[in-house]
Amino acid sequence: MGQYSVIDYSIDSLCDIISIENDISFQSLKHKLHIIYLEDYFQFMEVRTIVLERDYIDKDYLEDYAAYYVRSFNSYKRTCLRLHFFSKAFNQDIFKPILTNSSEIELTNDYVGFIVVKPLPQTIFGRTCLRTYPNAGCRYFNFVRPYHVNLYGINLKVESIAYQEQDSVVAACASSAIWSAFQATGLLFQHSIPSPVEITKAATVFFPYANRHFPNKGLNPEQMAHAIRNIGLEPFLISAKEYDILKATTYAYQRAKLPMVLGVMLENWVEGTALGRHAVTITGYRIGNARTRFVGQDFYLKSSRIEKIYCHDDQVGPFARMEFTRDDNRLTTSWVDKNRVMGRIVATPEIIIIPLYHKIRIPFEIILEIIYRIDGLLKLISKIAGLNNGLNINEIEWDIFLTTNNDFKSEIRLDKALAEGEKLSILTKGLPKYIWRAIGSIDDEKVELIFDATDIEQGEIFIRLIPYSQSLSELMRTIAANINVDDIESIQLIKIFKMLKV
Amino acid sequence: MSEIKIEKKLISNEDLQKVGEWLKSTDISQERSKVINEDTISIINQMSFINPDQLKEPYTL
Repeated sequence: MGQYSVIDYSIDSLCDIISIENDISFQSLKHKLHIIYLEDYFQFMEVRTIVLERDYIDKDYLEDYAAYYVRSFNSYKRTCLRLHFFSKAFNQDIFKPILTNSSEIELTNDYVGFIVVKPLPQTIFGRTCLRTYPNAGCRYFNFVRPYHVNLYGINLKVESIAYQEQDSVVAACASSAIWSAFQATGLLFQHSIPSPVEITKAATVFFPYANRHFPNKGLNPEQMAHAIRNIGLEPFLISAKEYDILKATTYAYQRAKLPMVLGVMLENWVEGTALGRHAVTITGYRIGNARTRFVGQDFYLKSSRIEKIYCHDDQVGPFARMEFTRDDNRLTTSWVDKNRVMGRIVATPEIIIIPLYHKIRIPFEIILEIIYRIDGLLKLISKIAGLNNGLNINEIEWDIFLTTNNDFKSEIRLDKALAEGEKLSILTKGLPKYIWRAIGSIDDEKVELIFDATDIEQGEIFIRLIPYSQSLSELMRTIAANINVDDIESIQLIKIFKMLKV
Repeated sequence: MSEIKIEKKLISNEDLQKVGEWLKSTDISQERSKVINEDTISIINQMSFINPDQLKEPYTL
C-alpha cells in the first residue's frame, strides 16, 4: 500500500478506510457515535474527497504511546493514519500533478480539515481539526485558531480548535476536554500544550487514592483544577445549574476568547435513569434574534438570546450541538441511547471551569449584579418618576462581556457612533489589560460602563461611562447628580454614581 | 460634559429635572423591592457557590 491514497468521500468509504487500516469491523464503526455525527457534519461541509496520509507521526499520540502503549504486551503501532477532507472532487490522477506542482488546481479553499486516526482497537479519533460551521451572523466560535498543515509539501490551513476522543486509558472525558481548552489558551497566553497523558498525570499527582494514573477513569473538579494550575493558569469554578447562568457565563468569557470546560450529568429523560457525569469543552454558541429575559425577570441580557452551544464532546465529535430548547434546564445532546435513538439523552449542567489568566480577578457575577441593580434603578425611575418620553427604559438590553484593552480600543476606534473627542479620550487613556464591558442599548440609544477586570473586589473597579448617545447618558448623569448615595445598598453602585457626579 | 455625536433627544430637560427632584425627595432603599428581585440576586450570587462534595465527584463518561 502506498504512502497516500485519494478516495471519493462517502461515510461508507470513510468507514472502509478505517476498518481496513485499523482492523476493526465495518459494522461496529458504522454504529460508532462519532461516525453518525461526522456523516451529518461532512454532509453540511459538502466533503467530496479524502486524502489518506499513512505513517503520520502525531505528537500527542506519541506522548500517549511512550507513556503507556509501548509497554503493553500486545504491540501497538507508533504511527497514525491522517485523513484530509476536501470539498472539491478529485481523484488520484488529478492529485498527483498537484503534489508535484505541475497542476494549476488549488486546494487551499476546499480544505475542510483533518482527522488523525490512532492505531487503537476502539478509541480511534486522535487530533481532529475541522472547519467550524459558518458564522451566518449567528454562530460564534471566538477562539478558533489557524492550524497549518503540510500534506507532502502542500501548505494547507484550517481555522479550528483541535478535538480528540478520549482513549479511556491515558485520558477520560475530562482530560480530553481540558486538552481542547488548552488549544485555545496555549495560543492566547503562550503556554505549551500538554498531551492528554501529561494532563492526566498533572491532575492526579496529588490524589494517589482517588483513582489510578492509568488506566484513568475520570477526573473530578479538584483534579481538573490541578491540571490547569500546572500550566500556569488559574482555574475558575462556576456553578451553572440555571440555563441563563450557563448562557451568560459562556457569552461573557468566550467574547474574551476563553474556552471553558462544562461538567454535566447525562440522563435518559424517557427512562428517568442517570448515565453519569461527563465533561465537554464549550467552543462556541449560536445567538437568536429575540430579546429574552434573564431568569424570567424584566432584565434583558444579550446572552439570554443564546439558543445552543457548540461543544467538543469527546464521545460525539467536534462542535457538537447542545440546545436550550427544554423547559427543565436540561440541554439536548447528540448522544444516542442503548437502542441507538437520538434525543433521549439530556445533559443537566453542573459546573463550568474556566482556565483564566491570573490577572483576571473580578468575576462576571460582580459585574452582572451591578448591572442588574442599575437596570432596576433605571426602570424604577422610568416607572415612578412618570417620564413622558420616547425612551422606553423597559426595553433596555445589556451586553456584558470580558475583553482585552487592545480589543476594546480597536472596537472603539472603528465605532461610528462615538464623537471624535470622546474617541480620542478613550483611546489615549491608559487601561488595564482586561476590561469588563456592559453596554446598554434601546434601539439607537446606547451607553456603556467599563470596569477594571484586574482590580480587587473592594477596589474602584468602575473606570468610566461611554456616552454613545445623548438620552441614556444624560439620564445616568442626572441620577448620579441627584441620588442620595446613602440610600444605596451596593457599595459598587455608590462608587459608580460618585464617579459619574464628578 | 461629554461630546455626543448622536443627539436625538428622547428625554426632555423637564423630564430630567423631574427625575432629579424625585431622586432628591425619595429614599431609594424603600423603593428597590419594586424592581429588584432578591431571588435573581441570589441566583447571581450562587454562581460561585459550589457544594464541597461536588468537587470530589469525577467526570467519567
